[in-house]
Amino acid sequence: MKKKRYQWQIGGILLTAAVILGGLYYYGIFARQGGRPAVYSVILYQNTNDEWATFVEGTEQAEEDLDIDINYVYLARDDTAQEQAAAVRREIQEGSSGILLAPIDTEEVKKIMESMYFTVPVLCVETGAGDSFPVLRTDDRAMGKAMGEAILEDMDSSGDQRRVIILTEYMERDSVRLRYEGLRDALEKSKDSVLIEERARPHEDFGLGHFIKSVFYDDAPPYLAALDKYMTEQAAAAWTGYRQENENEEFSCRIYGIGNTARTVNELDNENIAALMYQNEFNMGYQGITYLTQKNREKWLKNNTAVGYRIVTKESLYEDENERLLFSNT
Amino acid sequence: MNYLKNKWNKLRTYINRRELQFMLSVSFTLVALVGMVFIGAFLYQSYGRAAEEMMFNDNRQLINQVEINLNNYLRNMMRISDAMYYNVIKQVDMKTDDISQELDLLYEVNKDSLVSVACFSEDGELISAAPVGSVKKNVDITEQSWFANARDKMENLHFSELHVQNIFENSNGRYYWVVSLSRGVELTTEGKMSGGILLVDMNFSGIRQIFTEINSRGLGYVYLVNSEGEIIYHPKQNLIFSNMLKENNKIASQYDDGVYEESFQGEDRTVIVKTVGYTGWKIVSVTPKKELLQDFSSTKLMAVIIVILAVTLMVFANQFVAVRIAKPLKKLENSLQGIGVDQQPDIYMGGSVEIQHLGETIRSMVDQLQSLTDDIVREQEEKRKSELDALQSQINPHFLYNTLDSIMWMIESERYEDAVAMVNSLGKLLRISLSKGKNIITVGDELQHARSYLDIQKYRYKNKFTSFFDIEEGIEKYRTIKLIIQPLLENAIYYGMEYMDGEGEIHIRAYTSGDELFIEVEDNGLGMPQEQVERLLTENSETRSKGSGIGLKNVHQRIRLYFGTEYGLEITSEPDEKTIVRIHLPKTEEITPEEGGNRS
Repeated sequence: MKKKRYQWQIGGILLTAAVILGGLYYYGIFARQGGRPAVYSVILYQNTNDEWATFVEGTEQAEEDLDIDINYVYLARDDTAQEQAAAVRREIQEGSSGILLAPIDTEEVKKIMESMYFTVPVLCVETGAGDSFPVLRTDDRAMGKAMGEAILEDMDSSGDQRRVIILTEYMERDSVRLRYEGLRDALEKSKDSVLIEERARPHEDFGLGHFIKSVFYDDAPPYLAALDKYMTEQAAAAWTGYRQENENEEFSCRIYGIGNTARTVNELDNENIAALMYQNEFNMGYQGITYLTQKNREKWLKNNTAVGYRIVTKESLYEDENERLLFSNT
Repeated sequence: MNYLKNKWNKLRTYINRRELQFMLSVSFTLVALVGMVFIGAFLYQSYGRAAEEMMFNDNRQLINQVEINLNNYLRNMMRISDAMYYNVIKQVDMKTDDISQELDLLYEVNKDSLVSVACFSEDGELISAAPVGSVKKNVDITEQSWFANARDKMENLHFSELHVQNIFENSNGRYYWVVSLSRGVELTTEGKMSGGILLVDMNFSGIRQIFTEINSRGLGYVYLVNSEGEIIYHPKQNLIFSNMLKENNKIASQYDDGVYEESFQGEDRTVIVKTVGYTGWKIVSVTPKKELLQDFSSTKLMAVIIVILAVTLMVFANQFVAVRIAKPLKKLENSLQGIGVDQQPDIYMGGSVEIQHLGETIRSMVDQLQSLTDDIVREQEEKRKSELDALQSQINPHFLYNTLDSIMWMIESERYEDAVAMVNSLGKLLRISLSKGKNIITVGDELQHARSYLDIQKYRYKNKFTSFFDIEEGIEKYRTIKLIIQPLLENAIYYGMEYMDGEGEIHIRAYTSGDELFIEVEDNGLGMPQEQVERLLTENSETRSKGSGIGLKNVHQRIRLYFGTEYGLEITSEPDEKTIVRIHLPKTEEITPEEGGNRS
């Protein structure tokens, strides 16, 4: 009886050892191959296909460095805050480990998201969604102010009419509103007064291109300020169209825009835009994902971390720093 | 120091007290553990060195592979430039001939790796380009670095830094990162020779492809710098361009070909440098130590877990082996504990051959010991018997003197018949006492001996007591040791009758019961208390030497020596009433010659 029990004990020990060795073998051989990386979500508003190209280069670099997967959700041009919030909810339900969000409308998104309970970190980029959510953005007010100062400098050197029309589309995004405030602040503080005018579409059915072209026809602005990538692209396109339609006209408009898309850069290179303000979107994308993973893993996040911005003109476009930030090499 | 010494001594004491099984198990485990640690440390070192060596070899192979691929790529670009120069430009007169078709053809054939091919005059005027394009309005070609380098050193091929191709009008919004290959060329215009610059813009994607493929393998990464330390390719180029990452490219560009250990931004790493021919570019392979260690540490963790598991198994295995070795010894030891207690201990004979042999030897020794002990016991018993028999056979001199004195007195007083009867009784008494040296006699003889004794004592005590014999018929034939009733009668007379006022009675009874035989001597004398009865037959009891001089104890011991401890005397007494002494014997008839003894 005693001998039998002893044999059972030995058998049990050997079986346990076999299970442990099997586990180690599985861990060593299969688990390393089979481990699925965490999935994070990037939800962006979008008006044109390459609007976030540089930003996405940054997130893709982070995806590679941090060994994670990223699921991209791009909203359609006419999507609303509700649809964006629904996308956030869906991503969380599908197991996202964190959300990087470019809100389409600050107040609307804030209202909806403040009523939601989040089990994963949510980080806004470029545009905020209220104080409850940290934002990774540039100093938009300073960028707007820098644009205003560049316009004033241009006015001072060229002696052109001191009149600026600001396109006030997409003001529902606080990034655009802050840029506007900074721009207006800089222009209003000029020693020599500047006539500041604002233009916005009377209704959304009015095509943006047609609307801007109508500004050229109706107001002949010497300076036009666009505060958003898409608006800048549209303004440059409208100006190109206007000039083609009015080849002999001496009227010249200098467009100051914000953007780093291939199209805005090309318009700058082709002198349809006088100067571009751009934020370092590669950094924004890379840091955004990095912060999300750190929040997830280390319960730490700096609120409202700022990324840098620069101003570029035709002359400085091929300087090393601008060349590296504005022209994708991937 | 004393503390340690005390601890060490305590440990030694503790170990010395433990069982063999524990000692074996611990010793095996310790020896195996030390061996494993040594082997593990050796393998760890060897594996570490081998892993590092392997990493170096892998990275060297990677770098060599990159160099081969890059050289092929660059040679291809140079061949394009050579073909354009020697097969086209040198063969035509720029005034009359158009080279655009040849340029287009060359571009079309190589457009996967080319962005543009163009020929400029020494003033920077575009002569021809493929794909067809015009130079941007505000661009001064002569200020481009690739143009200036080619103009200054006509004989060489020049590779520029990585830059965005920015000289041609670009309406489609597509910009290309290029490395410009430029060279000075001789142009013939209306028979006159003039200088010119041939530009081949290599698409950066070709270089990136070579490195991307390489960087997907092995540890660390590989990047490319020009001779000034400007990065041409880096797997994290955008991070570096965005100032989010630093690289030690400036220093690396100054390294000669070889392997270097460096510390950059707090990170120890191994750098292998290889120079690319024609260009002065350097391929730099970087392997951070922590990556190597990380890979190694996961292996180390695995090894540690396996070692722990092996040690655990080893402990059990050693326990098993120790049990197998120690258990037979333990069984043998346990079986030996029976020696001295058990006359025939069951010596364990299992286990290995050696232990079986040991068991057999011990068993043989125990048998011999037992035999010797038995012999000694037997001899001692015989000796004891002889002593007791000798004692028993002695006639109390007082008894003999008094008897003879009585006979003499009878003769003097002319009581001849009484004297004859007394002499007759004494004769019978002496005859049976001698019994030809036998110790075992019949119950009949023994009873006769008792009668003779009583007859003599009756004369001496003037019929102060009366004796009664109640003898079972046929009991005379059974055997008994001789002279066992007489001491009982002597005690009855001396202690029962002597101090009695009335007439004493002594009853002698002999009877059988089953296989047992009993002879009782009962007197109606003074009797004795129970405590005294209990002391009479014990070792420490005083021998009452009055009378025959041989106590009841001797009778008791003799019976036990001859017939076994279950036999002997039994005494019951009631003070002032009576005393019964019962002889308990086995009922046996035959008297073997051996039992007869040899006393004479």
